[in-house]
Amino acid sequence: MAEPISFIRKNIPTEEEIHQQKLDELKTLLTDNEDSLNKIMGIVGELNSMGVLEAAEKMILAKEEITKIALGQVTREPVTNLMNTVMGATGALMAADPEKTTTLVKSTVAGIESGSDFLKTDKQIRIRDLMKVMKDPDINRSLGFGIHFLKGMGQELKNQDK
Amino acid sequence: METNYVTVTINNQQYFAEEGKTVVQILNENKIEHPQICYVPEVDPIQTCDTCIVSIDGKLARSCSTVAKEGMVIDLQAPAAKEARTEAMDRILENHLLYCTVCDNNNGNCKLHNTAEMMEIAHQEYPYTPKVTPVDVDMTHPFYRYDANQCIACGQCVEVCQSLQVNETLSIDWEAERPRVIWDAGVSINESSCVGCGQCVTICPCNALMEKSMLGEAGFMTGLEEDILTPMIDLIKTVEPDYTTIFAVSEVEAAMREERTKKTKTVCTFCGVGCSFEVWTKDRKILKVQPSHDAPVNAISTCVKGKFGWDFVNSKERLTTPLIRKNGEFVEASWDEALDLVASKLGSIKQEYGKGSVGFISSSKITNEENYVIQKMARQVFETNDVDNCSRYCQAPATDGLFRTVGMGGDAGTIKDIAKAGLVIIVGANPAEGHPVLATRVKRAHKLHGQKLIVSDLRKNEMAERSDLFVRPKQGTDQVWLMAVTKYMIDQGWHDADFITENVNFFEDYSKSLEKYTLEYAEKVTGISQATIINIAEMVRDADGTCILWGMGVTQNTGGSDTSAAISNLLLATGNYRRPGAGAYPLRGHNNVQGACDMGSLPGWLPGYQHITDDAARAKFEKAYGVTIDSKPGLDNIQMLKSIDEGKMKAMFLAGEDMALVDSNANHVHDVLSKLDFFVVQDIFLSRTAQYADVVLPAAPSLEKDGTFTNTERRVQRLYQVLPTLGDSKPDWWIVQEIANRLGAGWNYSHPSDIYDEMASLSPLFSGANYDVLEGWNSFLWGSNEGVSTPLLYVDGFNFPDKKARFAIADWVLPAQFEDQYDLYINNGRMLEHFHEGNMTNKSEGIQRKVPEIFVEVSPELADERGISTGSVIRLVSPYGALKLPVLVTDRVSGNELFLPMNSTKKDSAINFLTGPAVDHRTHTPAYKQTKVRMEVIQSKRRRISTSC
Repeated sequence: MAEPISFIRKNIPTEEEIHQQKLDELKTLLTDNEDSLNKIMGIVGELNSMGVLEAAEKMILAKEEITKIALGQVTREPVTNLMNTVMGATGALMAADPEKTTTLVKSTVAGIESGSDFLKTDKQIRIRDLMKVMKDPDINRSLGFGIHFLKGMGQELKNQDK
Repeated sequence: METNYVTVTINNQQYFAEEGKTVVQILNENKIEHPQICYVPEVDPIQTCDTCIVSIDGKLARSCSTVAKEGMVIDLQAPAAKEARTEAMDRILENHLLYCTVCDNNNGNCKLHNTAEMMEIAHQEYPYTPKVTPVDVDMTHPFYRYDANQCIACGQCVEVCQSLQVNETLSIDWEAERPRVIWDAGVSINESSCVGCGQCVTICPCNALMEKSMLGEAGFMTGLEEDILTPMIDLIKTVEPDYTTIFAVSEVEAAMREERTKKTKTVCTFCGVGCSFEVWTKDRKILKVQPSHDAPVNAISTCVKGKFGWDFVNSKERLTTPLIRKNGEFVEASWDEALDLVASKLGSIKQEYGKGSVGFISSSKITNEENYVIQKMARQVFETNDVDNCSRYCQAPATDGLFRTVGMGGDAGTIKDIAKAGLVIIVGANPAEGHPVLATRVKRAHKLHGQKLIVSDLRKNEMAERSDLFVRPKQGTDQVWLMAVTKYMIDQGWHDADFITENVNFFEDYSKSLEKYTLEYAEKVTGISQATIINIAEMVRDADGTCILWGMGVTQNTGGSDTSAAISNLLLATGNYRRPGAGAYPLRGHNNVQGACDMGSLPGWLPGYQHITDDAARAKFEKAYGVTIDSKPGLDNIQMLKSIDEGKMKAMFLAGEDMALVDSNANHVHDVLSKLDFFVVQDIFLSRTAQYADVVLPAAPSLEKDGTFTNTERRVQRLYQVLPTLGDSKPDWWIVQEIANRLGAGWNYSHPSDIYDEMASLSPLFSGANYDVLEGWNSFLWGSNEGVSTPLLYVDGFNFPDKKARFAIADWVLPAQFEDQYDLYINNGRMLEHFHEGNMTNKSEGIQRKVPEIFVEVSPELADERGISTGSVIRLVSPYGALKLPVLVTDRVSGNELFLPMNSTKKDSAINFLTGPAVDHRTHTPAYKQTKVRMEVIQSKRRRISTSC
């Protein structure tokens, strides 16, 4: 009569056998990838001598704390405001016409240069001078730009309020 | 039926479409990308999200619910439509926090994410605000969670629960200030009537409903601790970047996940419905089961086992190395040692004792290819037809009844035909628990499409509760009322005389055989009133197509085959074959009970249902196998046990069946298996049967191998290897080949496709299919001797030489008789959560949490009479054994009828320690259902009983 058996005698390898088996697997791995491993060891050696490995190790160990600190810093209102400002400005610049923006920037640079030259002369501007320069086509163009700039800005501010 | 077409214009281009299609269906069929968050093809339009709005003839309309009409002009890009869609999405996003990169649902298939991206949503108009406190996430259910704060209240989960699964648990609380999904009246998920089918989780377009197995596992950063994750999400929200930035980052992360997460199609192993789906894995961890709209049987539907019950593959109890019996214990061995021993012992026994000394039992859980090689090993290497499978314990009578009447042992049509029928009659089956996804199609048709439902059962199961007519015949008398209904219909002239004349032989003899089955006689034998029998006849008469579904309440009786034939006779008499939405549907219990039989793991049949007595068929196999095949059918399971008991059969090879638990009269089976000189068992666990073995060979479950299964519809589907084999376990086909080759077979199969090709080359039924035909979600339905895929059988006539069916003539046989002291009937069957004897599902922690222990159902009147209540402990004693069980008092059972779920592997609660030797008189299937017991009260005092019921 074959009685039912529910016990299994397992072949449980000894510590020594497990150790030996792992060593054998490692040896195979080393032999199969000798060239790559030599290069990796060289890189690792350099990183270690520079202290990078130690820093990376400690950072990984402290990853949760570091993440919390970083998050704590970046979630402060001034930082999030900055991010929003940068992103908003980036968005606005991305939406602008590159050719117009380039012209505007060049013009601004030229204006700065011209203004700087004027500052070196120590001259004073009087009301009469202002009236006179209105007839100068270059100044008139800049003034027209400025007035219409203010108009466009005002309209957008009105839209935002709505 | 003729198909009409309409012409519509979409974005200035003309398209033809079938009449009746909605605009969104036309868009999808033509691969025109368009938002449609709440659109679910399997249910009626939900119309909650409004993201699918289009301009139709200048007016805004939902594309999901607008049926295309001739000449319609549809403009997707109309500014008003775009604006409406954007407004709709804005309102949705008010309810959902987009933190995609750290969301476990960011796997490339998040419908909300993908739609927002498709619509180029950069910012949301209305800011997100949570509905409940962030900690208020319902985590009570073992398998899934609900996070109201992520829920967009689109109603897809509710719709599938109400109208596809038809469990009617989920609804949306529209009274709430912020609508959200609730379970029943607002209880926790685990306390609700949820059956855990997981369809709500599958269909959820975001991460509100998620599989717990995904949480913290699916993403690279989703496992972060809450105190890091929350500030990160807050940061993203505070900074409010353009969503295109969020989407871009999350797309990168999703692409990384795609590389890590393996998605493999498989076919479910928990019942015969044949659901297919992808299994998502990360190494050996199962992240989730993901059904697909492309799955031919189930689409997005699953049951709790198919969706969540796969833990067993990683169970610590899995066999991972061959075992050899030595000095009263099992000792681990190498494959060579074990296989050499198996081959030498089986070979020497055959040599010493001749043919018939070694028997083979194959499995309805393993693949078609594995069944094929097991029967081949029996017939070629051991020159015996003594090979059988688990269908002997369940479905052989149904197959017999169909072979006698219509000539093919399979379902007449597909599950779509069942859904289409005007009337469904379920006899002795509980598909809501045994075939859950198939049952949902009946529940849906009954609820929404006017289908009528009759249930005949001893027990008031869910389908009975939903039915239009529920009858409770006396045990073992279904054949009588079926014949009485048929007789009454013929007497009234309600039969289909033209169909019979054209299609069926032996009508006169059959009519004569019905003479005895008058309404009076049927009422007396069955206990069903004459009026009710007339009512059934009228419902069959009035139905536009009748499908009859039956299970083991029919087959596991002494007259199981004849009752199956009586079902088929009724359908023949009323013209309910050869047309869609009609026919006979035996519900195959195991995933591959159909396939095991198809592959010839039967004593009387070669693969592809070529009978062993058919000289031409046998000659074909003899040529292929190079041996002479005996023209006499071999022994079936029951006869093999008898042969062992008589000392004739000396050895047995058994794969994947727990015979010691699932055969009847388990105490007797114990005695018989102990007598074997040599016993080999292949299994994934050390089952009760394996404990008798001399050699146990560790097999691989379905998730660890390639192959095909055949479902109850006769549909062959491929399963692909999801996981590597565990330890040293191996696919069954590999093991069988190794044994056969050690005995000189010279097989050279390198993949299951080689086996399938050989089988198909010898079996005309399967000749039209191969692994290319079955690639991916494709499938093949056998049923044509020319090898053509055949969803509906018998369209060109029945499977007899004259193409005519045959009325089977059989008188009702009296059920097994018991002494008066055994005064209670004990019925048995499946529970939704467990598969068969429970060897696999009892390894699932979540399922064990839902249904931790076994119990016996007792009717309130019997409980009163015996002074017991729920939690009392009783002993049930039959002539063949005894069990000790806790009581559950329920009106699901009535009078002196008890019900015991069959999912126990323990000697004090497994049903077959009570069942006896009675068998179906034609197929020898044990008459498990004809068991009577007496009750002894051990402890009448109440104790706590844990069950979800």
